[in-house]
Amino acid sequence: MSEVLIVDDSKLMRITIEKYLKKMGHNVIATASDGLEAMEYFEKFHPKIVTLDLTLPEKDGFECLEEMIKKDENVQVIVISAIKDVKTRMHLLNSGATEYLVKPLNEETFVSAVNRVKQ
Amino acid sequence: MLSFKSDEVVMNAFTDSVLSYFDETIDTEYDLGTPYLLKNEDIMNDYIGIIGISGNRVGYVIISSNRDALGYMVRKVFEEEPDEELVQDMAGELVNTISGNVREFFGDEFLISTPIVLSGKFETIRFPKDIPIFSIPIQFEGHVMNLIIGIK
Repeated sequence: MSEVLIVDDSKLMRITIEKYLKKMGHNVIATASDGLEAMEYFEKFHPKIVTLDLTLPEKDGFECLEEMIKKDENVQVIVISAIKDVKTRMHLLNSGATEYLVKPLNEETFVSAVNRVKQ
Repeated sequence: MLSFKSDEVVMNAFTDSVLSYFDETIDTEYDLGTPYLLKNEDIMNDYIGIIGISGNRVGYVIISSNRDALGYMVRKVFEEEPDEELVQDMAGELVNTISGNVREFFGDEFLISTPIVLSGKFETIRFPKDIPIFSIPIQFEGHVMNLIIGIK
């Protein structure tokens, strides 16, 4: 069981991701709806895995990823974003993201990604 | 002002994005109507989700829908009971996903804002005059919502 922080400005996405993770037996330690809240919870709870949206109010996912990796190089960040383009995907994977999933989110794809980052 | 050819490219990109979204999320029949030019006098539905576009293109993308259509999607896509907050969230998430997915056509300088959702009675909406505004009707299970695109 891993401790997970969910970051997404959509409540529907937060509920769905939490549902998937709980089904897998993971512990969702916090959910954040903007970038500032995400960083606050990241420092407070030290999650092992973060699911991170990119288009966020206050501080975007690109900045959050950079700060998270600086604070904990072992954190596993699964980016879940509507932004579908190869350059952005490569940039984020090179910046330390472990997985890059494109919305709409599919449960099977999500479960596979979480299982990969756990290994 | 975009040429007819450019308008067609933009419409095709968004149409593909809508098709892909519905194919992946809803196991029910749906249909996309022919895109048409919107006029200022056209009435908006009760909920509108707006994404601002900047970078290599400028403009906005809007989902205009009534509550029932969004509520249906909350149930079908997310398997949740649609309260007011989730209905508004659905409008934002839908327009966000459709707009974000088209970035593969327009490149990484096609920048999208976070969604803004408004609800209420909108009698008319005033669009900028220098951008052609197109509307694509999306029909499913007796519901109709519109994807409105104004990009140059």
